[in-house]
Amino acid sequence: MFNTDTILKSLNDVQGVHQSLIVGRDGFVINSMGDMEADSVGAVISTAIGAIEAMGRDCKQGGLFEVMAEYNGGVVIAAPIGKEAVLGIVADESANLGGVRFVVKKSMKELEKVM
Amino acid sequence: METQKILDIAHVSFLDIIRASIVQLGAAATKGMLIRNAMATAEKIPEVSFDTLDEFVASIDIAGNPVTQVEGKAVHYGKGLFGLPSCPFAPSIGDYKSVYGGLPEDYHKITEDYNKQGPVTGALKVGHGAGVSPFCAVHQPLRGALKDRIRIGGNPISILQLGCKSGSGEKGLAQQWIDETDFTAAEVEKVLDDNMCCYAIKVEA
Repeated sequence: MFNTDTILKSLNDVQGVHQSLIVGRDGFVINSMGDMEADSVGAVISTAIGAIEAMGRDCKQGGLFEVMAEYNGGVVIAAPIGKEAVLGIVADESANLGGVRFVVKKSMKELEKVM
Repeated sequence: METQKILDIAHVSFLDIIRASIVQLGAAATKGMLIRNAMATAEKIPEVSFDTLDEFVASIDIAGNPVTQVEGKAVHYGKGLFGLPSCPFAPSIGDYKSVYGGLPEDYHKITEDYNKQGPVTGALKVGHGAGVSPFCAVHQPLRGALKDRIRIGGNPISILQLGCKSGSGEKGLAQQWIDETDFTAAEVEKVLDDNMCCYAIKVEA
């Protein structure tokens, strides 16, 4: 049986991932696993996903599945879990992006069931 | 020539920033930002101690406690039940309405989100029905977080948001927090007849 702990652990087990977290749409952390300051990461992920959704809405692109931001040091992936929460993943440059996105997609189905 | 009112443009801008944030980031993220800002402000306020609840109440007259300093003078109805006659955001709302004629339509989205059950509003004992405007998402968490800056008789305190009243007279009650006090919903409503905000302070053993 899945729960948010097991799902976050499976995400953190992917090479290069060092933080995974579930936050409410208001940015307050529901659950997190990793070595970062989850409260501040959660706050920026919720505002980022809100802004990206607004961009999709204004550009008439429909609902958002996932957003990935690439930086010098790695990537941040965020994906809405229904209307109330967001999954966030932080990975370094050693991560295989295709592998991370595959696990995120698989985890989303599990998260939608347990949330 | 008649003297005209001078607007506080900071008031108007603040309310416009909230409106823009709802459109650009969503109501929930905006609410979260307002709550986090309020909690951060509370953390910056120096801690104070009072020997008794009566001493705390006496300090209201001279704004000698952090709650009064951020919201104005409340009325004590006994046994830790307080009513606040004026909403601290009333001047901002008044200035905004004088320009735009009313508050932005999207504001109700923050109020609705703020009243949902949530871990942070639960820990602060605010919202949960007591929100009547977006400004409650600033004022109530700020006051609620001040519980960590005040001790009475050497003990920690709880500040419970029991109810609030909008400018149009609509009352919102937080039954969950009322149930944690010795007061009834009818008593809270009565306090709100003469006040905009009603809360309780409990000294923890």
